[in-house]
Amino acid sequence: MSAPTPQTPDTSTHHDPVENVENAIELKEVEGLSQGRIVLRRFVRHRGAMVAAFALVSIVLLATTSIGWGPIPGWWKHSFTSLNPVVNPGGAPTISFEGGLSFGEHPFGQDNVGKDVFALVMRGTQQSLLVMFIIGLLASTIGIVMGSLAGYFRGRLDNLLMRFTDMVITIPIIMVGAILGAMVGGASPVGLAVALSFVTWTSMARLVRGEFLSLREREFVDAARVAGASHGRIMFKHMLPNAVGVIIVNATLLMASAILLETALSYLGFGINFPDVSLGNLINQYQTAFSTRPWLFWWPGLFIVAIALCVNFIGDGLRDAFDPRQRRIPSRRSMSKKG
Amino acid sequence: MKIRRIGALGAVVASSALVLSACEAPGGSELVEDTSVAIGWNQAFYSQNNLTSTGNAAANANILYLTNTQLFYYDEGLNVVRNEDLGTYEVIEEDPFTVQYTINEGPTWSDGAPLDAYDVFLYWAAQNDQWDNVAPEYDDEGNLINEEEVEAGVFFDSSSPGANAISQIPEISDDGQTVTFVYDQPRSDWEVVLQPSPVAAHALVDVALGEDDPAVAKQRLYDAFANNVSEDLGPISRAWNDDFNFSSLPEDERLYLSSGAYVMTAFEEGQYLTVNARDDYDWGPEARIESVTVRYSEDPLAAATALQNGEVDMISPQASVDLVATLEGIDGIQFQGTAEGTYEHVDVIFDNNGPFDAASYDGDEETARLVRQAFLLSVPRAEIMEKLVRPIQEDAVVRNSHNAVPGAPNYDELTENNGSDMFSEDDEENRQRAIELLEEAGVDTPVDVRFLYGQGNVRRENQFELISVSASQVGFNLIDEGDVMWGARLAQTTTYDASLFGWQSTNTFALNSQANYVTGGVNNFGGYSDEQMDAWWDELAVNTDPEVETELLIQIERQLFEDGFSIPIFQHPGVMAWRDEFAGASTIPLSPTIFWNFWEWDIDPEDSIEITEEPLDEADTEEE
Amino acid sequence: MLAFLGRRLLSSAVVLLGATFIVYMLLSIALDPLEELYASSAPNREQLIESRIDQLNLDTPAAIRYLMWLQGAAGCLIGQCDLGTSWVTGQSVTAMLGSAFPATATLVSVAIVVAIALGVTVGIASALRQYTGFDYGVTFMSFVLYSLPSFWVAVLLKLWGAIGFNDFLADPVISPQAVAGISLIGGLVWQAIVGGAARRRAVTFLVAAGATAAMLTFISATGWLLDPSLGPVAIGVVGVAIAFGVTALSAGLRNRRALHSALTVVALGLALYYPLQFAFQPAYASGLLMVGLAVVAAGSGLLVGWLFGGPDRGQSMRGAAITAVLVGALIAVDRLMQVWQLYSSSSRVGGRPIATIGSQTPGLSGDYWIETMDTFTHLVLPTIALILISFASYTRYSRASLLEVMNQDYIRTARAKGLPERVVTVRHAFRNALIPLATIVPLDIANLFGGAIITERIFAWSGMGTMFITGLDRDDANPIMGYFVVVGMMLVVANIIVDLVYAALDPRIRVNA
Repeated sequence: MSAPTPQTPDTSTHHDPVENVENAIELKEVEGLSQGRIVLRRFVRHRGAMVAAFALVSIVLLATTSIGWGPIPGWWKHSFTSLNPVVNPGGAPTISFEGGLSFGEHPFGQDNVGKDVFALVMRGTQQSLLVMFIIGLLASTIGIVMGSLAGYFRGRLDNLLMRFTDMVITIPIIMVGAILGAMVGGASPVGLAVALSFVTWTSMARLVRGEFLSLREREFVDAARVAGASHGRIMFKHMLPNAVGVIIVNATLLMASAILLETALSYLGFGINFPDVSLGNLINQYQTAFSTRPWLFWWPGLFIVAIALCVNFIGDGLRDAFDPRQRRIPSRRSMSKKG
Repeated sequence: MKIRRIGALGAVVASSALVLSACEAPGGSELVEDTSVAIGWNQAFYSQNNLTSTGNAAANANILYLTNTQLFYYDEGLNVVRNEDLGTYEVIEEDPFTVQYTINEGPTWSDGAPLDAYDVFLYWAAQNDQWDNVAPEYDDEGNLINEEEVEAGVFFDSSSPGANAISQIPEISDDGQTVTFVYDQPRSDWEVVLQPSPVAAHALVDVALGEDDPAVAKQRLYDAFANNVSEDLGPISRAWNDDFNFSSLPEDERLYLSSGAYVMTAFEEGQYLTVNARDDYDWGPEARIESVTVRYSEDPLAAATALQNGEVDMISPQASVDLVATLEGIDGIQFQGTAEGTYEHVDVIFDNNGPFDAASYDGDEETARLVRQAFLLSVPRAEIMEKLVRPIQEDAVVRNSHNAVPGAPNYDELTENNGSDMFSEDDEENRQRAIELLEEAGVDTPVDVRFLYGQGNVRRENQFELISVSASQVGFNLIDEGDVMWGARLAQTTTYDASLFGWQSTNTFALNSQANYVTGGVNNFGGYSDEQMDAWWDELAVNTDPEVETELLIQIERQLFEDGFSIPIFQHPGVMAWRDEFAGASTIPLSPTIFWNFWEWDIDPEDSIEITEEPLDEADTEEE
Repeated sequence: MLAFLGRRLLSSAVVLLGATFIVYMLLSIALDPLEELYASSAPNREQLIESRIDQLNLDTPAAIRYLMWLQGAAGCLIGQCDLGTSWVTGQSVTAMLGSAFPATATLVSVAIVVAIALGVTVGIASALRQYTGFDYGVTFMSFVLYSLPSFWVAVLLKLWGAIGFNDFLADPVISPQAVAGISLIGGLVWQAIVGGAARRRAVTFLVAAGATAAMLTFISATGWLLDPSLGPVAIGVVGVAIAFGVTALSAGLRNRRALHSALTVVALGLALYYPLQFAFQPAYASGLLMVGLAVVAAGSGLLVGWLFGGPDRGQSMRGAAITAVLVGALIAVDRLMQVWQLYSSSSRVGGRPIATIGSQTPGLSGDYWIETMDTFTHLVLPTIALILISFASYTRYSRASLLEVMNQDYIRTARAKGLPERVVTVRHAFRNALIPLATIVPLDIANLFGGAIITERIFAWSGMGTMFITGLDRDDANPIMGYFVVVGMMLVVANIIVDLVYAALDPRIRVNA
């Protein structure tokens, strides 16, 4: 085996004895509840995460209902492909706050040829969310499987999988995007997402492997092994839940970076292509409109930042909720009070 | 050590430092100053030899225009202006068609060697293919099978139809100032066929053969070509092809000899290139600016920001509506929409059994012609101009000629008579006319048209959308065949019926576009074939009278419009912008675009001293 | 150890070999060097296409072309590198790399050091102040920064950091409103970081806001930004602060010997301030001299610490050496500031010192200090743009990591036995919290090189990213392969280093297997 591994088990235990008042209260609160309920309760208490979850759901609903999804029609009057007469000079937004809020014909404005920016942004949001979710799910799954196999079985398999991971890491993601664009003449969102998943799983794999390497030395794993549990059961029933904190943090960062990766690819001309749109493709197309026709740039930009922020905050909340070790650090004063 | 002692030490040290710092600090820094301008460009220079297929790029041509003298250049009205300070050229005999070039005495390369007829001779010889005896050949596994021949052989990676129209070895006078070329047959663009070579003849021979006496070297060059001396021509051709490419200032001065107003003095890879004025230059328009730097930045917005920040004085980045609006919002600069050398047009395919091929209508040529005309009429040119082009270039006009650039000397005469008036300036009128034509043709609508264009290019995508909507009102159903690799698809005419792309002009002579229209021409993707058309082009090729040329072009274009061959739309709009301090900004649609009048550039001297006030006294003494 | 290294290197070579093959094959599918010729209107187009096919061996299978490429690349092992040439410019790839690599390395290395330092510091501060306003603020800011597309950040930086700042320099007077606003924000941030009871917060707020206001007013009133300098007094004050700070972190202020040796070094630095001006003369100054002086400074710091003696000699020596280098750096910065006015008012710079494109001002013929200043003004914006890409992840990971460690039993034990909080945090928690970060760094280097592609393009910085992207644009495979070989090698080496560092930091890991 070539990779370094922990040689001695971690001496710290997982289940801290009830030591201070805060802990005691916390434990009392969750007494008799299932793991899922505890996580849910903790998550609901995380204010930032709740706001983010609510915002993300709203965005998803808005994007899917407004212009419809696939064959299902939406409530918005314009489609993202129709060319409409330009209402305001330059296509400026018709939204107005004078005498109460009035949306007008094109609240987010129009582009060069009169397309409705609201419809474009909604379509872009759909596609970007799709890309984000597919990458988040697929890349995490690949990464978790690779990482847990390598970390659990170690030895030859670990060596093989990690060298494969190294190989994938060395291939620039932008190159994959470019090649995809060249081969299928512009990528479909799903195709793009799947292809990107096959190159973005590496960080997940490495983290999960690291986590498994240390977890497999823990007492509870030994206990499970002695009790005769199968490899699969030990890996996925006993170890995986303990690695969930790392996984969640990484998965959210992965999803947030997925949306940004798509943006970067679009900037270089390798993302989702005309006539379809994504948020990244929109702000890239109109990046020069930055200060001159801000509605073309800021609306999609706002949605990208909002989605990425929501995902990150949800991830933050989930991590706190999942990980029983994540608690307030006992302050110096509370320590000294106890004596 | 006790704290008190340390404190005392510290006090002594600090106070002595204070006293000393009141003195003048030793060895202050200094700077050297001169007058300079900086021009922003998007691609870096990489070859002194822009005649090879490798070196042929605007990035090289611009710099060479500054450093190499020319026998002629294009002015703002695209007229050919002769530089008689350098030399003259004239037709001395009509049959056989003979042109004599005479270089004045006095012009020199920057190493002191004279510039003379041998340099013009080299321009021709390198581009004439008669000495290229070996092209590399490979077997199935990619091994060079004729390595020895290639090693010993001659292959100049340069070629031009003009140079190939002269096969006889030209005579050079004894004083080396005059060279006489005899054309195989007269040629309409003879005036722009030859220039002095961008690579000095003597430097080429020196680099290739180590012959460092310029006079001997030139004679050896001439003899090598005249007598086909392979031992010399082999190394010379390889030096010509490869040795003059560089992307930072080479140590070997021979690689970047200048014959013009400027000489290269600094070249930092990928960053900038600086040329400085030659003191002894007087055989052409003389520059006022001592030092010109071309700075490289690919991103158009970055170029605009750099202009705003004063890092460059003039830019000509890739234009967009928003770039123009951004420039509008910047104080202290001026900008102007310009027409570039490429024009956008829609072509149809004649021979793919599609909607525009007579074969689809049982060989009924007339039906196919009506469908083609109807389709071209349905292109909403006015709307495209209004929404996509005029926001960038306010004074842009629809292009109504296949061969002439708007603003070219013969453009007006041509468009008044070439039948382009069948297209109204009102899109709706055109659509009504198209509907009538379709009815007359009696085809079932909607007619499916597979439409090829460059995907990833926002303007082309927008054009496709506009054309698609307009054509659907007439009775055409456009099928989106947008492709990132549209260039490669052009030749695969079975995969599309109509295409939207641009042709670029490199000079003002119509002969340039012959291959677009004649039967079997390499650029005639549509498979158009017409005997009369071929005959006109044959006539045009050997004609040297501008009047006759315009006459012929009128007939040619009339026929092209009548046959529904294609419709030109607009000249690509560009933009140039410059700081208020910069004077003399101007551009032409042909290479070297914004560089064409560098001798008129000037910079307001006040630019150099923006901070005139002395620094505040407190700033100097604040520590006391 | 050696066996480990050998095996890692061998397996890495295999990894690289596999990856280059995959990339080469993918590139051969994606790039079509003939594309531009198909659209060409040249009369001799067929001939051009033919000659390019010959030139690039396009009629041989890609796998065989790969072997030919590999043959050239293998020459690198014996010192005869041949990574092919770019067919567009006819330049050899090794020559291209020779100029591109240093440019990107400068950019990325500065950015990565700053990003790690800042990200980890902020992350730790926010972990120590968990669930306070500061923590939430940092979380929110880091997520926002992380979510911004990099070219967007770059454009904003240019607008405000370059255009805005340069315009401001024309008349560098800060309005009273701005002073008040900035001081208010400064005070709020500081009280949030320091925390504590309401009274303590109020005091912190007042002190911080007052200090900020005083400094800004001074800068504005004296036109300091036009001709900045520190001078011995400022260096002395900052130096003493550094001495206290470094000692507090490394040895604790109770260790008087450590504190005294650090203070002595500061005094020594001040005493040498004037003599150093002679050493810094343009005639002598060079990068080598600076490195030499830094080494001398560190050495004298060690010496002073050793002379103070005591049982904990090592701590004194370390603290004094760090202080010495920092004070030396201050003096050098002071010297650099002296050329600021000359630099920014030169005709080439024209009073607008912060640059938006390129890595140097063309035609600026200055000495070492002016060149350094020029590099700085060109480096500052792209570096900030790059930092923002990785700053967020460092903050998040270091926060999470420290929180986890702080809840471990051995921390509780350390506290229980009465160790001061500083010792617990710095000695026990900090080191262990850094371990997981070591796995992020190599991936981050890869990210930065990826991120640098866009940053380089926007700031017209001619480095590896530019080489890669122009290669893609022009269907030029060899430069892309060159880029790939270098980046891949760096990653592989970084991974090996990380494993070694991991072993050094975590005593549970041995490099033997």
